[in-house]
Amino acid sequence: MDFKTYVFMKWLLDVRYLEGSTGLHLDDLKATWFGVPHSQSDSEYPQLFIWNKLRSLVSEAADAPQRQYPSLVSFIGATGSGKSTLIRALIRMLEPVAREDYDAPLPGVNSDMFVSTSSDVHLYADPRTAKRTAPLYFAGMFTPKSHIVIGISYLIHVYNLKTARAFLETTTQWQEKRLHQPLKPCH
Amino acid sequence: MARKEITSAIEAMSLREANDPSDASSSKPNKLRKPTPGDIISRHLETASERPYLRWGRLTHSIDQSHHRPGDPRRARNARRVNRETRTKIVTQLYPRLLYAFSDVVCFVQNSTRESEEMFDTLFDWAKQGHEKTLNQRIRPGLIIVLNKSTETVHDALSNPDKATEKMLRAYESLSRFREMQRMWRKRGRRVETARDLIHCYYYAFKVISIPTYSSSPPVANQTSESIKTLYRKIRDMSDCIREKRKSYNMDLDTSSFNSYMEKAAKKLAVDLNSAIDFHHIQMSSGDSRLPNRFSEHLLQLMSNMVRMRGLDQSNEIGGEAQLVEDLIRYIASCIAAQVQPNPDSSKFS
Repeated sequence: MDFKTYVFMKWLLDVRYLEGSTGLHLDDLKATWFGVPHSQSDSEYPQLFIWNKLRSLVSEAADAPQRQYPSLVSFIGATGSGKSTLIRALIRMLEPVAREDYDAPLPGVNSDMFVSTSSDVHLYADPRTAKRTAPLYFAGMFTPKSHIVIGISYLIHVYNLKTARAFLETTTQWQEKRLHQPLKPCH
Repeated sequence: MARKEITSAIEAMSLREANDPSDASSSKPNKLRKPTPGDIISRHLETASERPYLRWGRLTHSIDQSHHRPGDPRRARNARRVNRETRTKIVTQLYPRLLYAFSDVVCFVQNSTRESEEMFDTLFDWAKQGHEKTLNQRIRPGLIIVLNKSTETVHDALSNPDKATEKMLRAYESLSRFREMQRMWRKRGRRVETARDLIHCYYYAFKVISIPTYSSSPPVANQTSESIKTLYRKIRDMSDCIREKRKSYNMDLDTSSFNSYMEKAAKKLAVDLNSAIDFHHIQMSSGDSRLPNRFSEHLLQLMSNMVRMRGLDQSNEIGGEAQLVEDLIRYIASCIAAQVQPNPDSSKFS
């Protein structure tokens, strides 16, 4: 395992980076495929909201073949089982270069530790297959943590991302300068 | 890009609010005040493409005032909340049924501390919800059990997915619950010898993958990273395999069909949560709203129109549809024959 991968994994999965980033994020709201909001307008029945998420994910992938046959991968499991972290790891880890172009569940947002029965189903594209005839899509049931602190947590997230990148860059530079050779893989 | 757009949208909104004299009730005259989460959420809700009413759902009458900011009169006026029982139904029945019907692969994420009996019960319940009320689906999804956050000892024993799968199956076979399920399927006329047979009643393929708890020690971090890669590979393999199968049944859906089938299924479940998702029926009814893409869809549309013309959808008579197909076969066969170009070099059709 090279050092860069190690640092990247740390950024991806280490709880210290995940902490503090709570609340509902705008980016995550955007990933909603269908959901029933807690608070509803005055009518007889609750409404299920469905977004055209699949179509928008498809249109976001440039140079994709004209006709695609989506393959859906659903993640289910109890709250706290780590679904969102896993989806995030699958998207980010396999295609670190495409980080900017593809959305992934945000760290610590999805409520895995928060007991609530109202959930949304979010949909994310798999960067590796997005431009193929059979693109994979990850769907997970997530619980919005709360509808408060949206602005603040958004800033924290950006901050974390920047720190993580800066950390990654400086440590890699430092390591290359000081050791003149990559760290040996640890098995 | 999208984040930038949203940020600028927020800024625009907060500027507008700051200039709005009617917003005097705001308790915090802060320059940096962002739009309330309610604003953002309601704006997001407006972009939804479909909003079916859940006829089996209930809303509470009481309004929890503590959730509403004083400066947000729009939300405070008419808001009602979804009651707890309805929310449970949404999460445990509505979503699972939709996802099961449309997934190629289902990943069940489980922290390995729990008992496998409990886990399989959940899984079979989930599959029962989906499978037994999904008609003409023909291809069941594949199942991957992800033992997430495994402890070191658990992961050492289960690091090989094939061995882990076998171990899990053997463990389940030793439980009394397995024998109950065996009896149930025997009554239905299906022999279930092993736990694998049982799983195959609901899922097309089955794998277990363990992912060790992340730790900052490099060897463990490496294991975690490798396991996640293995998981991805297994998902890809399984999805490829199931897609091939789907293709062979002519059930692969392109993006627009997928979308419209999914929406149709959701609308159906919104009316009655216990109703069956019938792919055949969805396909038939989708002829109304969009043009058929494939040959099979054209045929189906023709047939469903003829069913209506002959009044077969109104009567309980048996055999009408079979007669219709009989009548159509010759016509369709001659249409196909007319399209085939004879090869000039031989007397045979190419």
